Amino acid sequence: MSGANSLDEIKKHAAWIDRITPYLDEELDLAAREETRKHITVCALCERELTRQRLLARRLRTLADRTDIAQRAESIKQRVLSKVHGDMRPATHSNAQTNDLGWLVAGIQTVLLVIVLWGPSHNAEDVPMVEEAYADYQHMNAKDFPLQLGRSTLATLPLPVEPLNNPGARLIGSWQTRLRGQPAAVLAYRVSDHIVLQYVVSEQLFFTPPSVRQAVSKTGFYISKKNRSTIVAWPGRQSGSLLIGDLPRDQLIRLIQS
Amino acid sequence: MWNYLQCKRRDYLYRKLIHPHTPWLLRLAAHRTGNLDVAEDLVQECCLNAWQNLEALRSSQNIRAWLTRVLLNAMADHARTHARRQRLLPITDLEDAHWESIMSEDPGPYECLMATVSNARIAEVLHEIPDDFAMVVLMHDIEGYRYREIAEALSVPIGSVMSRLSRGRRMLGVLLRDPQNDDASGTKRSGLSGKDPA
Repeated sequence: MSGANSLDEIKKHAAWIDRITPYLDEELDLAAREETRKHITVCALCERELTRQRLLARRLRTLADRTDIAQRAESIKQRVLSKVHGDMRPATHSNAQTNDLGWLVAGIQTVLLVIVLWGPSHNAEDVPMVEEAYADYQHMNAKDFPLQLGRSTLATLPLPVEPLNNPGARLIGSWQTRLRGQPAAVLAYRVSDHIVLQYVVSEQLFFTPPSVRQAVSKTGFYISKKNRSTIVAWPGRQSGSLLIGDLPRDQLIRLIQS
Repeated sequence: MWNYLQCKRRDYLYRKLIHPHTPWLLRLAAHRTGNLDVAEDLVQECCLNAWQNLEALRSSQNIRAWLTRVLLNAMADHARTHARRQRLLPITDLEDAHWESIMSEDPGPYECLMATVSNARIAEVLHEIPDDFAMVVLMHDIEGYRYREIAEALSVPIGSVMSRLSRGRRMLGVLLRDPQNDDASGTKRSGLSGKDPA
């Protein structure tokens, strides 16, 4: 093709020229690459095209060096993480510090969670409120649930009812009962194929047993095991709740942590 | 506590999977929009989108291509609302000029041009090339994407990537050496077409 001397002839040569780009970029397969290499050695036009493209590509590569980009990228990361956590405060720590601190806190909390989940649970018989709630749970499981289900059945209760707010637990009914002679609310949830009951009691009743008070002050909740059932008790804003179900304790705890 | 741990895990995934690509995305957007502040906004939008899709992204074969596609969509939206004025280029004339120059000219003057032309001038000329070609030149020659990655990000066949890159380089070469084009206002050429089906 070194003898090409008109534009038309060069255009006919376009198929070879088009190969120069992938040849330069090492994107041709071995056979095509070898074929193109041989052609370039005998074609001045393609050799010139290759030289020009190489010069241009090399020059363009220098445009990638922008020192301010890294700083801006870091700032984007801080803003994105602040935004997704709903915290628009400017970050004051370096990335490494924030990372390390976050992992340290997460690690400590994981250890605490493991201790809570696998540590010894309390004996329900020590706490009459828990014992009564468990007896009621067994009693209700052995018979039909009350027919008049619905939140309106709790309207007359003299205590605020704070239901679970976990998408894994669907409220299917509620009714009133009495624990330790005081009014209490019962909320029934479906969790997968299990039914769990939440007993809501007044905060006076909730904080009466010393073992409950101590457990709550240490870990935020009280756990007890009775036969196959797990009982988790935790304080609400103006009341206390006991959640009882035939589920593993970690699964039950997750339900109250949404 | 559970939510907190979940959040920490997502932060970790974000730092590991998304953040390393941010500089590339930022440069890409900056070159194409010509404004680093606008680029930063677009990349932030892209990163937020990625954070929300972390689980899907985690199983993605090529995260950078996925991110680039999201960024390109954001850039396209931005271009629609901020109608970038791109002068129309006579693509066929440019290609003819390229053929004529390689037919008649040894690489010496071209080499000299590449050695002396400023970054600002290249960025300016790059901005004048139609998006289809410029984007491939940017992604490959400046940001170092491979053909397959570009094809995936732009959702085009690899053959189109080769063709667009080849033609984009030719156009760029001609515009850089064209003395008519030294005028920064860029009004001397007037259009036959601004886009060419690749």
